[in-house]
Formats: sequence, structure tokens, C-alpha cells
Amino acid sequence: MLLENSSMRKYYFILLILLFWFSLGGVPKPDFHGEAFKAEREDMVTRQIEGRGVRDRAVLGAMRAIPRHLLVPRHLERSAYADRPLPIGHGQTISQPYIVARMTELLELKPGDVVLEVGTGSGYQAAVLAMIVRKVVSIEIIAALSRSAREDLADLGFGNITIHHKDGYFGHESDGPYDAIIVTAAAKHIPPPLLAQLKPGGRMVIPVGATGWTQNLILVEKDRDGVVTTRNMLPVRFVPLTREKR
Amino acid sequence: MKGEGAPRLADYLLVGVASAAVLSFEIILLRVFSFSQWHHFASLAVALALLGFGVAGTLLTLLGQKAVQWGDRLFISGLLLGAGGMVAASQLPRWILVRPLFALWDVGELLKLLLLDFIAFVPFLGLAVSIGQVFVRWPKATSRLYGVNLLGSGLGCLLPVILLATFYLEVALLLVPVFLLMGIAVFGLAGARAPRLGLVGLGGCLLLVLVLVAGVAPLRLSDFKQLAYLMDLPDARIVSRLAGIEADVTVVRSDSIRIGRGLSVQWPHPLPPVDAVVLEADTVIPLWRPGEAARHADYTRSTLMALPFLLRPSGPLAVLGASDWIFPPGDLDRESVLVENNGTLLKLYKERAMYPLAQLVQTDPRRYVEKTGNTFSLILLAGASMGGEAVDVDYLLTVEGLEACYSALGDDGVMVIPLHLSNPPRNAIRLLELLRTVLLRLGHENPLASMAMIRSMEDALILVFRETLTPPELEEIRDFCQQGSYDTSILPGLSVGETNRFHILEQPVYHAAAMALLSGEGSLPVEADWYSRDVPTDDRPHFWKTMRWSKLPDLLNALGRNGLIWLDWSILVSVVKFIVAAVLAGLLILLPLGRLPCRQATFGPMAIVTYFAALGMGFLSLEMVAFQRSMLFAGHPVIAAALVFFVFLAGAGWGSFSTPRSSGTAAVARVFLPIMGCVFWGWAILEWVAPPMLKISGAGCLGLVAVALGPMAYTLGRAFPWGLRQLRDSRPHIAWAWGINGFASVVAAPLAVLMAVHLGQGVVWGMGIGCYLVAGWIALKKT
Repeated sequence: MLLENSSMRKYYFILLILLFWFSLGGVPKPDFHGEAFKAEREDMVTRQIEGRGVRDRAVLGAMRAIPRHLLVPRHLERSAYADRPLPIGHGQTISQPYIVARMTELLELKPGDVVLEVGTGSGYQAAVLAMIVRKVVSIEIIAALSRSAREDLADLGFGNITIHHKDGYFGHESDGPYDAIIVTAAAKHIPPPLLAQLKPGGRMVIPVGATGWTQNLILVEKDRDGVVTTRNMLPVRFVPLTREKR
Repeated sequence: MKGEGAPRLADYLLVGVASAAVLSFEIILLRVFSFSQWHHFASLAVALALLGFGVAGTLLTLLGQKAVQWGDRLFISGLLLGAGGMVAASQLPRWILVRPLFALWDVGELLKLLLLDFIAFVPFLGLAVSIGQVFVRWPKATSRLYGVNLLGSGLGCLLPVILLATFYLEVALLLVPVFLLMGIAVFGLAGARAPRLGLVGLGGCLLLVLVLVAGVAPLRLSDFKQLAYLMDLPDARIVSRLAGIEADVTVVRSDSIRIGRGLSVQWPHPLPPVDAVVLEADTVIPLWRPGEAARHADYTRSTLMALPFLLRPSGPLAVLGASDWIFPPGDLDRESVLVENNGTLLKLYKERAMYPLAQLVQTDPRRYVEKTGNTFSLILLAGASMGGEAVDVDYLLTVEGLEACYSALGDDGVMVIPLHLSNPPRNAIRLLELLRTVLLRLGHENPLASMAMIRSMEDALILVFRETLTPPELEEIRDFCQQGSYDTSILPGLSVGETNRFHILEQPVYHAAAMALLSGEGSLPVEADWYSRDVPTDDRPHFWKTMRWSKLPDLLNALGRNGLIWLDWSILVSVVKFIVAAVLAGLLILLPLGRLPCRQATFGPMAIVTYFAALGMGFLSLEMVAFQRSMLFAGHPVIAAALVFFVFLAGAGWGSFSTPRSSGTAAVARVFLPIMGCVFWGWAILEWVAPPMLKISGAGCLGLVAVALGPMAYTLGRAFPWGLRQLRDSRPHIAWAWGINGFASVVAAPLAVLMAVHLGQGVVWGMGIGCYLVAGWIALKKT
């Protein structure tokens, strides 16, 4: 019994250390040593992102590190760091780098956070999040995109991203509630299931408005008492949420 | 059509058939463009048609004597080209998907758009060549030919009403060439006038009938259309589709359709499943699925729209216009009336028992409130939430319209206007200014005391109370907002700290604007001044026009490229159309000058250009403004269009039969003096006599419009054939004049719209008179 207890204690101790390590962001994260497009990436961060007022060091660091060109279609590799969104097939796009940075900054992420992303797309936004937080749960409604993003992110070495193929409108309750939620497709209203899966004290960014035109990027904050407030941040243009056929 | 003698009965009949086909095709094409492409491009159909007539004039002028020599062959070939073009124009969009907005920066899209527009232009060109040719062949019969041309066109305005009420758009579009080819076959074969071409017509007609019997695939939609978006949703399917005069109605079902206007952010569950009723492929209206409404009472209590029903739970209710709000189930189960001018939509409501106890009335909401003798405790201007385009005519959101609504309120009545909000604010500020004007005119010294505005993230409700708000009402509104996390922007006694709490804007712009506008406290926020606050009236019923040309630099400086989103694109498209039309018209009018024989007679080239351009501009200006004004009396734009265009064309056609044959001063007086008198008569009735008569029956109103416009159209129809008669000694000049008239009409259509929006209908009417004065002056001078 004593031995058992001692052995259990040892395991508990190891588990605690692991938990502590994980909570400090200790999940193995990729280390990108490739030199390809390094100058373009640096230029992108300096001009497009810092130049427009994004100051969050974690966001800037993640965007300096992640090889965006590996997450866009091969024929668009050379345009990967351009100041615009790019088509990734299936009627979807990878967002302009500045929008990725701005949306991520608005979430005010901490290393131990668990984040829900709705609209995996190419996986670039998930990669940026995963460099900053403990765990990213990402949802993609288009099966082909969820498959390719899963493979690409695994190739890059991300171990803290889980991608689900489903309708993001309903979120992913089993891994929630989330410290932050980011929606990278336009919704006509804030999906109530997502609000329900946001932790008190959590933040969500979501483009809301008409499809095919522009939307308002809305910052949603849920206070400790569960009271929700929204703020209009900036006009954006995203592809619509919930669209599978094409 | 042989020789140089007089045209025979068959010639007149085929000219009538061709004219009817042109107008029918034009009207149906307008609906097709509106359905399948960007709605801003719908009016392109009119421009293409008129351009076709202008270019035909230029072509005939360049052909000179050959146009006469080729006789029946050219006449029938033109008609066959027209019929073939109609088929091509209806089928080509199936293979070429256009994204008109992308054409602004994508050359490939621009080329596709131009190709489609060119194909749509071909049928008008073909038919216009045939119709124009008869004037060149028989210059002495211009009055009769013109009369038949216009009478046929008048009938062509009525034909689409029948076709669109009975058939889907894609079928209606193909029935027009069937009708035309039948005419060609009979003409060509019956008198053995052109048997080979007649056989071609017969063959084409039979082939099309076979295609129609086999079934025509639905129109392909631009992916910007809401219907295209909905059909991309997982498991989306069309539940039903109904043809309609007003709009093609499609009902789509998918579990991913979620419509949540004015929804509280405190609502914790997924939205209830609804079907989407899609009008003209773009406007989406939710429809409860059978048996679902009662299960979701809690949901509808969690939207902004629940507030009016809490404040006035009983008493007569009027809902004006369909909207994308879902009403709390059962709340219309009281003495209630739902007024909507789309009959197909009401039919759907009845089929689904959407509002089983409500009285459903098909008429224009403005006409309804003018006509009803009832008073209501609650009037919801629900249709306002659907928004509109800058060039849209809305007679409800005018000073006179809102006064009529207010007058229909009972002593405890509340008028509620739901509005979709934009950032920066546009229509909401204009609505506040409009309400202030209305309330001051009605004797409210302090409009703020009887108004409230609450808003969710993207929507607002503006409530106007007949009486000053009572303390229990104020408390009820505050509680409702607190529970649903809605913001109060206007409420008597509201402090700044109580506003902008849940859906936080950079500054409480609506509250600040309301204080500045309604009680003169504080200054108007800068962004509230970027857009127009002009008060819409029946003379300028363009509530949805918000852009101010003078503020464009400020707007673009402040918002950069994002400011472009908030411009009135329907106006900008009209400006572009006007410029393109003016340049094209100028070039194509000048093009045949070198081929024209030298003319020293009474009407020289300059006089011809001025006279016929003035007639084209004048006729179209009067027609467009009469159409806009008649919407108030006709109850529906489609009815107004059919009536006005029929009266104008048939009346002018009839008038042309009585064109004076002489050329002297007395003849000029006989042509132009009645025009002046009848144009004044028409305006006097539409402006002063008709508005108080809105209370009479729908048929009475239509009759009044016909009485106003009929005599005017009759007199207008005489000036053009009289002018052509002055050129009877020079056939190329007749064709040229015909073309000039067509080009002037192309330019006049967007110009009249732009002037009506910016300066009012009275000014456009004045421009129409001015054009006829110029033409009369030229005629007087040259005779």
C-alpha cells in the first residue's frame, strides 16, 4: 500500500510537472529554420503589420516565424506574403496578413489559453494561434480543406492543433468552454452556440454582416458575470460561414 | 413589302408584332437581369434596347438607298436576327457566369459582361433595323407606321404581365421569340412575300416550341445573389417556386438557414429552423416551417421586435410590408392586418398559415394607410428593415407617408420603424430628421418626448408614440433593454451613461445625433454628417439615397477605401451609364454625317439633331417621371410600369395618326400648343388632384392616372412623325433622325433618374416640357 502510494505520488508528481509545463506553453512547437522567404516574411511583419499598429509581441513573433508560403497553394507561393488575401480553392481564401494579426491581437491571448477557431481554411490562422496558446481547436466545413490543413500543419510540426470537419456554427462543445474564439468567415449574426461556449472573461472576434459585401469585425467580450458586450472594430470582407457545396 | 407603293395591311401588322416583341422582351429581360445578375444592372435592359434603336438608325443611314432596295429581305432578316438574338440572349448566360462587381477590376469579367450585354443588344438592333426601315421605305406613311409601332409597343407592355404571371422567367423569355417567329412565318408564307425566310421563321418557331415542351433549365445565377448563396448551403433544396408579376418567388429549405434579425446576445440556443423565401433571387424573407412557430415562442421573445408587442399587447395592429423579421408567434392573432403588395408572397403566407388570424391585404402600404378609415394601436413599418437602393422610390418613408401613418394611429398608438444599422450611420440619422419634420408639422413641440430608439448589434427599432411616453412605458423599455442587452439610444430623460453600454460604438453617435437634431442639444457627430439628411417628400421619395457629393472627400479621407462600400452605387452606376450613353450617342450620331447628302432645305443637320434629340429626351423624361409618380397610385411598380408605358405608347401611337400634314406655323402651333396644355394637365392631376384621391379604389386610381397621361401621350405622339414628314424628301435623313431620337432616349433614361433623385420629380417634368419647347422653337424657326 505504501509502495503503491509512493508510486502513485511519483506519477502524480510527473503529471503535475507535465501539466505545469503544458500550462506554460510547453507543448512541442515547431521550430522553423528554413530561410526561404525569410526576408519577405520580415518585410510583411514590419510594413504590413507593425506599420499598421499591431503591437502584440507574441503575434508578431508568430507571424515572423510561420512559413505562410507553405500554407498557400503552390502556384501562389510567391504571393504568400503580399498584402492581400489569396484564394485557396473551394471558394475560400487565406486572409490578408494584417487581418490575421489584428484579429489575433484583439483576442489578447495568454500562453495557457484554449482557443476555438471557426473556419480552418489553409490552417495559417490556426498556426499563428498555436504558436501563442496551449491548444487550438479548429473547425472546417469543407472536408478537403480540413484534410489538407491537417496534413500541412502536421508536416510543420504543430502538435497542439485539432481540426474537426463540421459546421462551425455550432462550435465544438466537448472541448469548450474556450478562452477565446475566432471566426474567420462572415456570419449574419453571432452564433448563439459560440457565445455559449465562450468562457466568462473570454473574447471572440467575428465578422458580422451581409455576405458578398463587407462586414464589421466585431469584438465580443463576456464579462465574469456572463454579460456580453460587442464592439465594432473595423470593416472587413470574408467569405460566408457555412458553405459546403462548390 | 414590294415596290415603293404604300405599305399593306400585312406590313402594318408585322410592324406591330415586332414592336410588341421589342417591348415584351425588354421588360422580361429587365426582370431577368434583376434576377440573375447584379440588380444595379437591371435597367441596362432599357439602355440596350434604346441603344439598339439608335444604332439601327445609324446603320440605316449608312446603308442609304440599299435599305430601300433590299426591301422585304432586309425587313425579315432584321426580324430573324432579332428572334435569334433573343434566343441567344436567353441561353448564353447559362454558360457564362458573370460577376458584374468584379468587372470593376477584372478585365476577364469585364469582357464577359460586355459579351453578354452585346448579345442582349443584338435582338434590339435587329428589330430596330426592321422597324426603322419601314420609315425609310414609305416616308409618306410615317404617321401611320409610327402609330402602329407605338400601338404595338403599348400592347407589348401588357404581354409580359400575362407571361410573367403564368410562366417562370426563363420560359417567358423564350415565348417572346416564339411569338415573333410565328408572325414572321405567317407574313413570309401567307402572301408568298418571302417564302424562304418564312420557312426559317416557321422552323425556328417549331424548334423553340419543342424546346419549351421538353423543359427549360432555370436561369443561372451570379454567385452574388442570395439564392445562389443559399443553394450552396449543405442540404439546401428548393421546396417550391412560384412565378409572379412582381417577383419570382423561390422557397429554399436547409438546416443551415438561420435568420436572426435583432437577436439578443443573451439568447443561448441555436436559431429555430426556418425556410427562406427568396424574392427575385435576392431578397430573403423567413417563413416558419409548418408546425414550428409555436415551438419557438421563447426565441421570438428574444428579439428587438418583441418590445412593441410588450408595450401594446392588444388593440388593432397593422404590419406594413413583409420583412426579414420573424414575429412572435401568436402576436398577430389579434385584430391585425398585414399589408404587402407582393401577391405571391401573401399566397405563401396563406398556404403556410403563417398568420392564420391576420387579414392579409395585397396593396401598397402607403395606399393602405391613406385609404383605411381604421385606427391602430400599433403600426409596424416592417418593410423598412429590408432597406433599399438610392434610386428606389419609397412613398411610405416620406413626410406625407409618415404623416398618413401617424394619422392612422389611435390615441394610444405607437408607430414602429425597424431599421438595419450601418457603421458609419446612414439611414438612421436621416430617419430621425424625417421624424422630427413630421412631428413638428403635426404640432409636437418636443419630438423627443414621444420617441424611443433601441438597438441591437446591427438593428434598431425607432418608436414614435402618439402621446408622450408614460413612466411605466419608460420602465418597461429600460427593463426590456437590460434583460436583452439592448442599447437605448433615444428615450425621454436618457443620460449619456445609460446609452452605448452593450453594443459599443466609438461614441454614442445615435444618442448624440438625436439630441442635436431633436432637442438642439450638443452638436451633430462628424460621422452623422457624412450622409444626406434631406427630408424625403412625395416629390423626392428617395429615402434610401444617402450619399452627399459634397461630403465624398471627407468620407473617403476618413474611411479610405472602406468608404467606397458606403456609397450609393445605384447612383454611381446611373452616372456611368449616362456618361457612356452620352459618349456613344455623340459618336454614333456624328458617324453617318459624311454619308448624308447635303441638305439645304428647312431642316438642316443641326436642326435635325436638336429637334429629334429634344423629342427623345422630352418623351423619356416625362415617361420616367410619370412612372415614378404613378407608383403612388398604382400600388405596385410593375402595375405602374405596365400602365404608364402602355398609356404613353398607345396614346402616342394613336396621336400619330392625326399628325398634321402641313408644314407652316399653324401646323407647328397645332402640334406643340396642345403638348404644352396637356403636359400641364397631366402634372396638375398627378400633383394636385390625385393625392387626395388616394382613398378611392385601386381601379379608380389607375383610371385617374390614365386620364392624366392619356391626352398628354396623344399630343406627344404627333411631334415625331411631324418631324419625319419634314424630311420626306431625303430618306437617309429620316433614318438618321430615327437614330438620333433613339440615342437621346438612351441618354435621357439615366439622366431623368439622376435628376429625379437629386432635384425632384417636378424638375424632371420641367425638363420634359423644356425639351418640347426647344423642339417647338426649332420647328417654328425652320418652317
